[in-house]
Amino acid sequence: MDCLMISSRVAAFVDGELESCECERFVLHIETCDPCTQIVIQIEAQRFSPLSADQRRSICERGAFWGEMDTELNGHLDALVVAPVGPWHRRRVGLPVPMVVAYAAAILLAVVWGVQQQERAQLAELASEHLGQQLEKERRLAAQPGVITPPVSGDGSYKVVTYAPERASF
Amino acid sequence: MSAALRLVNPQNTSQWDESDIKELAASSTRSAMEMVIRKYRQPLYFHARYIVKDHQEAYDLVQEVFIKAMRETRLFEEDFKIKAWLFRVTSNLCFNTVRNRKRRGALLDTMMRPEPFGADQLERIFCGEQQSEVMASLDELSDDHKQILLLRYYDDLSYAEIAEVLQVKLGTVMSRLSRARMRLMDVMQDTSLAN
Repeated sequence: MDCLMISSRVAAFVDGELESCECERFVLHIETCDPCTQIVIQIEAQRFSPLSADQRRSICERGAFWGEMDTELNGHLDALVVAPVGPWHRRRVGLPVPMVVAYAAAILLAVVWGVQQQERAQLAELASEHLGQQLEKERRLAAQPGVITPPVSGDGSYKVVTYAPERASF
Repeated sequence: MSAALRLVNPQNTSQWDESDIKELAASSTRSAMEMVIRKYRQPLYFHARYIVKDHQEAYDLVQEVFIKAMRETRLFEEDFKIKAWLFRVTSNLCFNTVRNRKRRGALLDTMMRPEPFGADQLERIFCGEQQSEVMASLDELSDDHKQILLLRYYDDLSYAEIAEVLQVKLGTVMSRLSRARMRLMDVMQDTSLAN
């Protein structure tokens, strides 16, 4: 324990609030450190003199000391409408309105987002299924040699056809 | 309606701990609230009195604290620290009152206000305490230091209870209390040198 630590624990030491191991380290330090010993001596010299329990009681037990407060608080107690504390499932939960609104909005947004995601997933599944069917069809067509008919022109050559998009014609 | 709180057994309030009060609250919130008032009004009054240094203000502040307590929905919940909450609210209200008073410069009004309940005797008791060197020097400290010293040495709260009131760790209570006492030592030395 160093001098800095001593200065932050001196009140706890004087009040007897230090754990025993910490107290031992404290004592070990002040045995060898004069400045810290002086601090402890000075702190111990501070004399707090609060009113005793009897003095306090004698003040508060005067005639009508609490009378004014009792009258005022009785009025509030009569108007007190608080449900008694029962089992957890019967307790009323008091939450601030903005917090409830924020929670409700967050839950609504999460539900909407979830539904949207589900719809997108379904569409994607349909599209991939459709694409698969198309590919399968193409593959089958390509596998059938007789489907593509040979050219019927006289020289036996294929006729090249081009498409002109600006005129939208072949 | 009787002026005194209508309580089942008002003599043994000090023997009731918070768990007893919470148990009572399960059957009657009103009786439990009355127990809270009876148990804590005296320590809270003296805590407030040490800070605001005026009987009527301290009295009104404690009354306000209990009205706040009645509106606090968590008061009788299992893990709620009633004592710590009451001291925290009282401290906050008292320091706000002192700050407002300083801002308004209303100290003269306070000094001129007549005190009830045998004011002379009451003041004599308090003056004996106020005149002690330590008590006089407390006013020179910051609110944080003054509060922690009052909680420990005038309200007799344990370190753990102070940690709950101030909502800080136990180590922070130890170091803040030490710093407060060191600062108090400096102030007392300065005062004795000045005299």
